[in-house]
Amino acid sequence: MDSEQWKQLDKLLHAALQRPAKERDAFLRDACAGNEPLEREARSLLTLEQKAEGFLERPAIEIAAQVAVRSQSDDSQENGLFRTGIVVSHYRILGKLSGGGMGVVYKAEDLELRRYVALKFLPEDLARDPHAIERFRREARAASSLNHPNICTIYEIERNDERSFIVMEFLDGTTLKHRILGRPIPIERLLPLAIEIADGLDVAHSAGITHRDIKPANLFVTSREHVKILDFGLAKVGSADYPSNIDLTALPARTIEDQLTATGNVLGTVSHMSPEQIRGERLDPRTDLFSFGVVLYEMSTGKLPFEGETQGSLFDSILNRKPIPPLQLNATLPAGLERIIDKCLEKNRELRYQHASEIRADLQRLNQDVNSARLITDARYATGGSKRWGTALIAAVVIAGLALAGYLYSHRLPKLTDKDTIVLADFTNKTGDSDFDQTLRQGLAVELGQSPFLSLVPDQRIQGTLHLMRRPENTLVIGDVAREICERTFSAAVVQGSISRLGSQYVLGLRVTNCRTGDVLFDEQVQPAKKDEVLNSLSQVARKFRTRAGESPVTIKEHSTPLIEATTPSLEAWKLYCDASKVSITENNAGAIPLLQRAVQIDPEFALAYAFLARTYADTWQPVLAAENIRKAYELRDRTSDSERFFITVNYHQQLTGNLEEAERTGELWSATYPRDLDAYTLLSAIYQNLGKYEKSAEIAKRAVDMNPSFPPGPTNLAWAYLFLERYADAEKTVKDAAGRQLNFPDLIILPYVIAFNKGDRPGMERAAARGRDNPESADWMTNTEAVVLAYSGRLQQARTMTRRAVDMEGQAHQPERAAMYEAGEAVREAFFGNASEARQRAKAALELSNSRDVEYGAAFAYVVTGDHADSQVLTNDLEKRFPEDTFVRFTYLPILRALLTLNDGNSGAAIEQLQVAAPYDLAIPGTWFAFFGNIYAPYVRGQAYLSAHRYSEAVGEFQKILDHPGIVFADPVRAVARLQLGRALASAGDMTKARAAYRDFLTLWKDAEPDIPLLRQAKTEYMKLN
Amino acid sequence: MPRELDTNDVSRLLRAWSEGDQSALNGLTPVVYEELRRLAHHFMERERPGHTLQTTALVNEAYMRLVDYKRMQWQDRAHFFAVAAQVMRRILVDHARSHNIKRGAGVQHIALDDVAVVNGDRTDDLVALDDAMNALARLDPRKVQIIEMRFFGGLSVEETAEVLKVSPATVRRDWSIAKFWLYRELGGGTGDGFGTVEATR
Repeated sequence: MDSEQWKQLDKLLHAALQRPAKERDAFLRDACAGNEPLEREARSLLTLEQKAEGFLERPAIEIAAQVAVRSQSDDSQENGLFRTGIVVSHYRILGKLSGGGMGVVYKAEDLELRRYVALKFLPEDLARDPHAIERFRREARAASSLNHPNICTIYEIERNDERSFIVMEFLDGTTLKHRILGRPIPIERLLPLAIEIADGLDVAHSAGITHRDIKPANLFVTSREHVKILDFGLAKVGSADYPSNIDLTALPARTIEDQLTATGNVLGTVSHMSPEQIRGERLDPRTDLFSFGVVLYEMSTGKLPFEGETQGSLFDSILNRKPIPPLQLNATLPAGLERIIDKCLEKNRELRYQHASEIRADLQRLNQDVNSARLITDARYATGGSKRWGTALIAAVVIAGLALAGYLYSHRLPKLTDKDTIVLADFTNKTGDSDFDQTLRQGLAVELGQSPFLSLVPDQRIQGTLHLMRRPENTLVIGDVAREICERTFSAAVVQGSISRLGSQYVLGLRVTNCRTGDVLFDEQVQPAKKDEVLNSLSQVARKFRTRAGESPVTIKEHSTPLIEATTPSLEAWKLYCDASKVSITENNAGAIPLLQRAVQIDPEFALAYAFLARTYADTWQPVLAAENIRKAYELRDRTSDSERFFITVNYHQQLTGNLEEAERTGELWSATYPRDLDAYTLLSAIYQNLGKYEKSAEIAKRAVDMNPSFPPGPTNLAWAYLFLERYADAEKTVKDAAGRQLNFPDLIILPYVIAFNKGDRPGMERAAARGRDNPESADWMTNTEAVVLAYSGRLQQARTMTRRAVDMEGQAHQPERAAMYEAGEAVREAFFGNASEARQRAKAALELSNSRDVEYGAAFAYVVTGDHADSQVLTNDLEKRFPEDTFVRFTYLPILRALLTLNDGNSGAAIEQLQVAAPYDLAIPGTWFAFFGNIYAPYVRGQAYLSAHRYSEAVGEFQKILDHPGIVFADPVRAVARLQLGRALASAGDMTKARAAYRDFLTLWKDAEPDIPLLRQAKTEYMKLN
Repeated sequence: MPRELDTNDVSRLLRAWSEGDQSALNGLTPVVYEELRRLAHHFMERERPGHTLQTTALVNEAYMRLVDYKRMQWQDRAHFFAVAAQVMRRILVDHARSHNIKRGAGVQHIALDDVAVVNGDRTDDLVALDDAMNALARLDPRKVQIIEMRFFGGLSVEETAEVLKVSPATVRRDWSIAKFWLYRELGGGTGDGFGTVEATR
């Protein structure tokens, strides 16, 4: 009934109740005006007036108290052995779960294996019957041989003080009985559950075990939406005393009357019994298929097919009557389901389905139809629709699609939710072929990583967790280790793969287990015929798991590229790639490079390897090499999976075109499509910094850290963002947290130095510098950073020595791009300080090492500042030509260089105009930042232009802007020069007091400076004139 | 024996719960249980529980101690009643659930399992009632609120009417309709008719 129908009915009932009882009959007839169902429903409810009179009239608390009294007296008759906390064998009882006809079930903790289990004890009366005990044990043994994800696993059979009990898998969820509760289960959920029931029955029947008591109360639905059939084989134990030496499965049950009189219990729930069961005939597996039919009927309609006021009439109904066709009770059912139910409910078992596997096959076919019909209907209505499909579809399916798609689709309970993370365990490789060692696991990571729905615990986090567990880095993540990591990371499940040989073939298996309950959520094996087919088989099985995990068919369809297309057909190249990813996590970025280079040699079309190589070069500040590799990755991007394509595209814009707006847009789309993708967040947070959006950067970097605190780029970007925002304490804390996780990332070594500098913490700087110089990953960077700091206070000779040292280190490490950046930085600062020839020399040296964007810009800046227009102009033109889309070039580098050139020609107005486009990027961090120059240069040049345009107060504002942002500007030479320029602007404006203060400020900073620096000499002369 | 909570504590816990603090329920549960224990003790002494005047007084007293509505100083009395009744429902149903389980599988349990042999009297099955109420809530949340306040919260028709700002007559009719529906859901009806409306869709 929908709410509209209910409203109508409710209104009618209200009106009827306002009338005297004797008038209601006529009223209903008139009011319903032929709407027969409505009238029938209203009458059906009104007839209960008398019966329901006392119903709910006593307060709930009174009833609850009475129930308590009753159960207390029940309890007092119970064996006191099994109270909570008692230890039986090595199980601690945690509470009673239920008491089925065949025994009492307790929740318990296995003290040895530290897992939850369910213990099932025989009921008291049967526990005293040696035959029953024997049957109990035999049946339990038989059932324990069944190992299938849809059958509740029996771990062992134990005996304690002459009391036998079964130790079973503990399940979290509810029985199908509670699921149905008088209402049909939506078809989308119904079919997967039914398929699993059929699957479980098939396995048991193949093993020669008949359940004989299939009913909703024995079908458990786990919280992950999987079916577990309970109590296999146990139904028979209490049914009668059969001699124990006869094959139980072949024996007839006693008639229902016998059972009733024998134990007072109804065994085999009457309403789900098969005709042959009622007649007391020999039973075979087909009895379960009939009962399954009854269950399917209930799931489809919410009603029982056979009912009767008395036992006799119920039996008559099962034996002789045809149930109301399910479609009459639930018109939304696919007609195919009704046919399946009908065939299950055939009274004559010869006419029934003969095997559970047949039912499963029919259900699976139906499930496919329903799914594809839904997609088709959705698409059709979304696009306004072709009529082509109209007649092709079964009417009922269309109705299902229309009526249910909206509601069910959004309410579909996934087995995993998108909030769950899963742990990918290491593969167990029993082939002896080491080629499979890392490859399969990483391949699976790529496969599952394509899913926007699933979220894998990142490798860095697994490493971090191993560290917390005090286990060595190379510990195999399998079995209990994997389970513990799963629990520690609050993940939902462990995915464990395995590969072994079977003759010339392979057997590839995937098993997914809920790490808390031990529930097997998925278990599949495939048999690739040869080695080349293994990766393909892996794709297949991964996709199957995605489906079963609850991902919608739509996203699976959209986001799945077979592994060999997404990566490489070469197992060898793939192995190198996997090794590289491991090295980059456990050791350092640099170590991954040679491995990746070999991988792309073997397969020159291995897009992912190029992309990884590009990222690694970018992270180690080698932009030209990064650009080269990302270009190749981008060209081959169609050969990658969807999420990798995002990765490649963002890096492409960041490193090759330099179009940061495009990178930002793609990154935002990426993080929206794959909200759990860490790479999306870390790249985006860096891009935001380059656009000057520090708050946004911090916010998103924080999210990355929350997702995985052990992935170095997260805390690194967060700490930089905090630094730029001058939130030094937060920056320090972030770095410290990262250090606590043993993250090895050069930025995390440089950052404490930079923070200490801005806080004026000299000892802190010393400590950080010593650490930085000791670390081969960061020694050169640290050395040059110290040079920058020395130069800032005018100790230029020392700074030169240090920068030279940094450059030499790079020469040895064959990283000319980094050396070029240090040279360019030195050129810029020499130019600022007035050493023209030194500046030009350094600029030339820089250009000999690299023609990267940032090096050319630095050199061009040094040339123009020292008055070398021609060389500067050449470089400016080159930048413009080579980087037409580049955000830095277009909005920062070119406007600055052009304005300086114009300004030198004496046209200050044009210079101011040229700088206008740079304004939104005034505070952004440009690409030169690695060598700590280039920050807030546009305001500096603008200030100069204002100065020569005699717009002094505006000039003051621009120079002040530099001094107001110490977090961004750090020890950039511009920060020193800006003080002097501020003094000049103030003096020109006539504010002598403030001007003198600004000069003093500069001279104090440079009190230990080398006296012959031109800038210093100029400053001193000017300052004297002021006084 | 749980520490006695005073009315203010109860009020605070109820408010916390209504604001989404699930742990507040843990604080309230012992209070309700203590009242349950008192009542149960009373029934035990009389061997057979029955609906006597004395019982009514006792139950009223229990409610008074639990949620002294009159002394509660809530800005929104209506909201408070609704919350208190919801809490009672939660605690009593949970309690019943644990006792249903404890009651075990005896014959009685099997009989309840099996619709064919049900005799219609499930009026003391709070768990089944709770399930049925959830189903009804999808169609008509106000009726469920009325059941909550009247049956679980112990409010009279007049009080319920005051809270919901409708006439007592409306509450009475809503109450009846909800009862019919629930009664039938719990297996007391003929089982005929319910599905037929659906089938005409």
